[in-house]
Amino acid sequence: MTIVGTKLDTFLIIAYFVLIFGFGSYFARFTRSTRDFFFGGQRFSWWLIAFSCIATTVGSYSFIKYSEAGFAYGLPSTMTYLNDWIVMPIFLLTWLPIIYFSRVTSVPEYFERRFDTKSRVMATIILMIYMIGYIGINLYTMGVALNALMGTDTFWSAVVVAVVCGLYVTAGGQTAVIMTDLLQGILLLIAGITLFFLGLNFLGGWDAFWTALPLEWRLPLAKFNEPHTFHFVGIFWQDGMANNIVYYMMNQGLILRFLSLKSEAEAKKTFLFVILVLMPLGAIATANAGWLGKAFIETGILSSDTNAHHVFVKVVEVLCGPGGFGLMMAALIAALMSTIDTLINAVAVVTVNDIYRPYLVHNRDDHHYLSAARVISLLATGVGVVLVPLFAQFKSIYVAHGAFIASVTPPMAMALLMGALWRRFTTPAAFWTMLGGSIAIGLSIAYPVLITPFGHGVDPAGSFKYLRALYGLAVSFGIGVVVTMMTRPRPLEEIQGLCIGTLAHARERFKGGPVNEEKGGTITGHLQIVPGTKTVSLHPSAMQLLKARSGDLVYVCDRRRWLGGLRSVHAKLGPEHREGVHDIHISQDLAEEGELLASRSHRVEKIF
Amino acid sequence: MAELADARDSKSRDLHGRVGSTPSRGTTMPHHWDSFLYFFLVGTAVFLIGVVMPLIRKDLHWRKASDRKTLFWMIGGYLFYLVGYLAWQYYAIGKL
Repeated sequence: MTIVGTKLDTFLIIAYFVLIFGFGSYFARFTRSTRDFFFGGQRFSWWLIAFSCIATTVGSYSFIKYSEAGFAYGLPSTMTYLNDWIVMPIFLLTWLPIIYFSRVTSVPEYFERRFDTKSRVMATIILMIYMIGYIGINLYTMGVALNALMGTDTFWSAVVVAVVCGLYVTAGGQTAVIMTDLLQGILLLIAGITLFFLGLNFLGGWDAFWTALPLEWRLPLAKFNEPHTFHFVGIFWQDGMANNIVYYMMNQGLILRFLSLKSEAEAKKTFLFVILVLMPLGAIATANAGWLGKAFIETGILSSDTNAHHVFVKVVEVLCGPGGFGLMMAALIAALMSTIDTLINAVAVVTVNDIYRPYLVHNRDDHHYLSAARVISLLATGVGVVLVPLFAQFKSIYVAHGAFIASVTPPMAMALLMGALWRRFTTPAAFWTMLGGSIAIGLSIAYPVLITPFGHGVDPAGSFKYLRALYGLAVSFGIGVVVTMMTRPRPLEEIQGLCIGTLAHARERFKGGPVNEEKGGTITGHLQIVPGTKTVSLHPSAMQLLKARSGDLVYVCDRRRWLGGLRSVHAKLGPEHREGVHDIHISQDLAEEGELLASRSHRVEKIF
Repeated sequence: MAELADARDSKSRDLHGRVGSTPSRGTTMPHHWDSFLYFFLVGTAVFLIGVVMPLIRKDLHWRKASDRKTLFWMIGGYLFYLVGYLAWQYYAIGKL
């Protein structure tokens, strides 16, 4: 079935594409190096990255998938978004400092530095298959969504989105991804939550909605181990454990996002805001159409034969008039494109840093690798489009994709986790954890009975779709422990900053000297361009306010906070100057790197 | 009204609206309290591993103000979810 909007809706959707394309392409001016292309210059504020993270999280199928689950099973459909607190400490206290201070740019790079080249190669292969396949899946599901909603051809809808995404990512790199995702993240949250309020109003208020839902639909968690299509214990292990590790520790797009923040402290704020505020909002925004659909059926507004697959469309049709429908479609497209652009950029990072530069073309200048990254972005988009007809041949793409992800990611996730949390974990163990774990999972697909000991009483008729993740994690862990006990670990000095117990050194290496953690304030002033390279210096009274010393790392940014750090730069503090108290002496190269405008007032803060 | 009665039927349905035909294995606790307990027992164990290991390995120092602040927010976040889920559970079953 399709519903087709009015001319106003079509105009809004086209206008949205044009806006996003133009907005993203604008940021080409801020992309001059691979550091800019991959990390956005390491300059951004926490709130900007936080909203862009939620846009990456809410993917191509989120609105439709979670509405389906919300309709069929109720508020337990929020479990996926509300279980990230489990991995908070692992991410904040261990993984974030590792990637930020050791300047690990990709998961394969981490595997090489922590283990060896063989592990890096295996990780690269797994990750590339995952990411490129995921681009194709996202493009395909978006084509399906637009086909259902607007009657457009599945393949050509996917092509249009691919072209728009591919072009602005190629031009603007990570900065374009972050800025467009910021816009798209805000839009999809507003649209989703607006839909919820429209629905509540339509029903006659919160009480009418709440009492219309059956008891099981109102509970926060699903039944423990049934039905086999949706049960608590399976989702706990598949999503709460395995997928959270994959998402926060292995997702290349998210790693790049956190590395683009101006400091570790900003990264912590971002993460906490995402977990505590944006994830709950995201849960409501994506699933509420399903809850409303159920309430609409209970109150006779919708027919009781409404299919879960179409509930999002049906609810939008009931609640949104002309214009409103276009806004909802723009939000859906926002969710779709904000995942694809992150993946395209991430593929470019992994390809350049883990394949092209180390193995194919060495010792070229940064401009060459930047050009290569742009070409690869276009190629990745093209490959994703080519995969669309392939995925279209599967009867149920989500099952195929889910099985693929569950087969690939648990062994790599466990190797990563053990590498970060266990200093004794050896290089051969990392390799065999990934290989052995993958083989064990492959066997479990052929013989699901292998998963029975981990079954928690779940009906085996579903082939343990979710609990395969627990089986994979457990088997991989076992292999990792056994091989570690039989082999020797690398000397501790070779893995400084790459695992727990070594992170203090990582901070010092990052700065290039002892860390100054004395808490200071911020100062504002005007830039004075001075001779020299990579130079920033301040008046003694300014340094006193900052509690900073020569050699400390400082952050200089445009005073307009709404820019989110777009015009900013990091630098090491040079010797004091004795001129104006509010003068910020800065060399031309740093001013250009940070896109700083000398006519504007700037803020300086000490990092450490 | 038969349609509404059917819709209110709390039997599990799959994504196509079909009622599950497999025999129920049943939860042992009403209102899914077993799910709640498992969530916060196993989840808390993993959470604590993530906190305790850096403390033992001295990547986290209780005496450092910035580390205390991080711990405060994390534990606060954990309590937010624990209390939030508990309140939701009681509200859903009409005891709040």
